[in-house]
Amino acid sequence: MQEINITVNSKEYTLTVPPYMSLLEMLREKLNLTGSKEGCGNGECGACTVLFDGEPVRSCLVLAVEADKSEVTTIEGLSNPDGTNPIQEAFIAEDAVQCGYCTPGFVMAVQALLNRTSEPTDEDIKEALGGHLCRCTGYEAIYRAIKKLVK
Amino acid sequence: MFKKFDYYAPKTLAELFELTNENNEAQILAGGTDLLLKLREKTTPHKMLIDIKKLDNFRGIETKDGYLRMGALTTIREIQASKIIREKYTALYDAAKSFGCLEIRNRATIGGNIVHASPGAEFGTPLFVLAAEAEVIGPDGTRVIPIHEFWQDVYQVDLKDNEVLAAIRLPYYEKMVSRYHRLSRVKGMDLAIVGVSVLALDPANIEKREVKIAMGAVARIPFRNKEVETMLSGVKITNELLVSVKEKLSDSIAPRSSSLRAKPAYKKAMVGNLTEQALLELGLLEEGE
Repeated sequence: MQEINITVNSKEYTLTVPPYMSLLEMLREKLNLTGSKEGCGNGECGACTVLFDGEPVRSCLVLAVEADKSEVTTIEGLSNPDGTNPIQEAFIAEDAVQCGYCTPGFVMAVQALLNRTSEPTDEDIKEALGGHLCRCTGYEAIYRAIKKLVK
Repeated sequence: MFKKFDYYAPKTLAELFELTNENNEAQILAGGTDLLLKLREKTTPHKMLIDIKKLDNFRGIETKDGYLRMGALTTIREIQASKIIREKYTALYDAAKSFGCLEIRNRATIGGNIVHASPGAEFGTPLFVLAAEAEVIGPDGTRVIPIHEFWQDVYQVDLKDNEVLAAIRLPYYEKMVSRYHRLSRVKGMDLAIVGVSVLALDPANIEKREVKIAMGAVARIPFRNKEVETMLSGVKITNELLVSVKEKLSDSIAPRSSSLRAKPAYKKAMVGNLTEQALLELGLLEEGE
């Protein structure tokens, strides 16, 4: 077991974790932050995407111990105290959520995109979403939601 | 959960070599996008991971005594974002752009891609035509090895148990252009079916021009066809010449039929097309013939 210090959604934690625990497992099982999902567990689907020191990563392919002294933001960290944030509202307005399993990953990818630039090009948007799978295939609506949001 | 393993994150080179000297079974952890997959599928024997990300020696892209040094921990995203790489070592930029997805590029490293030595590794052919060298560090000092000698076989590189890939060195030429092209089953997150890098030194001076071509995912390690390179160097590249070049490239490879991604015939047909595409983009094809 190993002790790590980690900041998640602006809150500091000291946790004891086995080295073979993924960051995703740590978030879900140790901190009860179940917004981030495990889809494929192979880094292919994007459902587990979180911000790691500000950049989007696959939390299923990061070890909890690698996140020692790092800052992590999950979908739970994006919501305002009174509810949703603008990205989530844009998704709702465009019906960009079907089963919802992929949504936290998509929203985190969009947050990372908007952190990089407030005026993303179509190419930027496609690059940001490129590694995210929606099993309901609702890509058009997701793309539309982001286009409306950045217009 | 992953397969069980011990984890160490040394903070100095001395600590690193103490660990590698005492533990021949240890595996170096860089970005983890390959290694952690294997540990999840439990297909690897490693019981100890040594995370080198706390060591600064392996970071950064810098110009040094006439070459560009990319630390082994340089992420694919950093390569994609580097101005000097995009302008001078364009094939590497192309490879970074077609690599995985943004989230994977944020973690995956050039060192991991090279040491993993997959036959279709995205950076295999670009580094080969760019005449890259592997800078390897161990308790006894540093070794510098041409990249094509560093790759010994599929998944096998010239690293002793106590050595670590520290950096990739890229020679600098004033007049150098290069491109990398690959085919994949989907335009997005997929490994290459086949990939080709083309480089030209002194591209505007036809007599002096030197052309290099490397193919990936067609043999156990990236492969260069020197005969074709000689045919293309120092002459005008006409459509007629291109036809025989494509034939020779196709004849020179024998891709394995067990490939998951394409049949040998398809790869043989495509290497020429990718080469043509790169030559065209580099402005090396004669027009109107």
